[in-house]
Amino acid sequence: MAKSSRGNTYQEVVEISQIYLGPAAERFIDRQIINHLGKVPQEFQAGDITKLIDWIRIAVSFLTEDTELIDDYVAELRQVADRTQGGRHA
Amino acid sequence: MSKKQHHKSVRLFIGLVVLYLMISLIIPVNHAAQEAYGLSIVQSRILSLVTVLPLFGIWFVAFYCYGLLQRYATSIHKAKEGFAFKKLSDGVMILSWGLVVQAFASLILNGLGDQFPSFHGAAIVMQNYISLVFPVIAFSAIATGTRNLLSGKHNYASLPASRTMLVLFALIGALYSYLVLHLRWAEDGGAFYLPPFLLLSTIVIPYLYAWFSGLIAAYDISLYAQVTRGVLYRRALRKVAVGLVVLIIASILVQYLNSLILASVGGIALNMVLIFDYLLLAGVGAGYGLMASGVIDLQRIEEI
Repeated sequence: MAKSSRGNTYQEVVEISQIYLGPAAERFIDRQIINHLGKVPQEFQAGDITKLIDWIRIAVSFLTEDTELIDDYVAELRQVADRTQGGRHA
Repeated sequence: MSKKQHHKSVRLFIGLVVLYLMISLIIPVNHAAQEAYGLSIVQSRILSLVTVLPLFGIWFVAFYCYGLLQRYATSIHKAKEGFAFKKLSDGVMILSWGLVVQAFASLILNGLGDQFPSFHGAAIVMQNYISLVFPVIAFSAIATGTRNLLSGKHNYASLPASRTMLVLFALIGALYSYLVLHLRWAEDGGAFYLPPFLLLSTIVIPYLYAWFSGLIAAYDISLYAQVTRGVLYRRALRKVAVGLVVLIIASILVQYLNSLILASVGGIALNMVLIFDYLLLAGVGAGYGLMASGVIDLQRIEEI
């Protein structure tokens, strides 16, 4: 169940990231997980998503000054986090 | 690019510039152009140097762009689009070296042709073939890369777009063929020093193939920049696409006009030649510069 939850969460994060980063999305997410969470992508847990979102916000702010775009991106990721963590608590 | 590679590239660039300047001072001025445009020896030398300074700037921007593109292609070599960007990088490298080799060839061969009149025809023929080989190989590589970018998208040129490109290309090709065959046709074999059959089969057709490949590449990358996902990725890619389109079109115009100007020394006013040259060189430089800017943004996405 946990592995399926991690896989789904990871996939959702990548799919949302593709809206903003296109073909580079999966590489970008993997890099954040490796560099800032200290894990390989396969070890990513649903519970890591909050910390990941914080690092994604910082990283994307280096790529664009469009705060509206950054806010939209983070907001979509937070919806995934709320769904995931809300499901786990349930 | 590592610091060591960067220093090596800078040394190579400086070496090429110094070598070119040395050769241009050693080789006697072109008497035909000098007499055709009514210039003294000193004026010819100054004109040569003034004309060549923007060229050095273009070489720098071209190789800078290639360096960035090569680094980006290396960083994504395992990705699906890695092969495509490798091909783009190879094509830009060949175009960049083409600028240098053509400049040196033109300088040396024109000088030899001027000193040894019996060599003049051979010099013109060699210049034409040297000018031809780089765009043929470069545009083929670039077109392979851009078509590969689209291959997963199942988006290709629509029927109206294909027909428009075909008509445009037919016009360009027909006009170029007409001008080449009829421009300053002389009894000694023509301004290109080649019989009509060889001129058509080994100069005109390869140039048309190269230009068509280039125009297809320009269209493909424009289309890819529109259909690919990723707001930030698309913004960066759009700069690469626009830069590549400008580079390809400016390069085609340079080749188009230079091959005609080569055959009509003195037939076109000097100021018009210089204006065309500077405008087109500016276009080539702008293309490389815009591409470089886009690749920097793409690279940043891969590093942050």
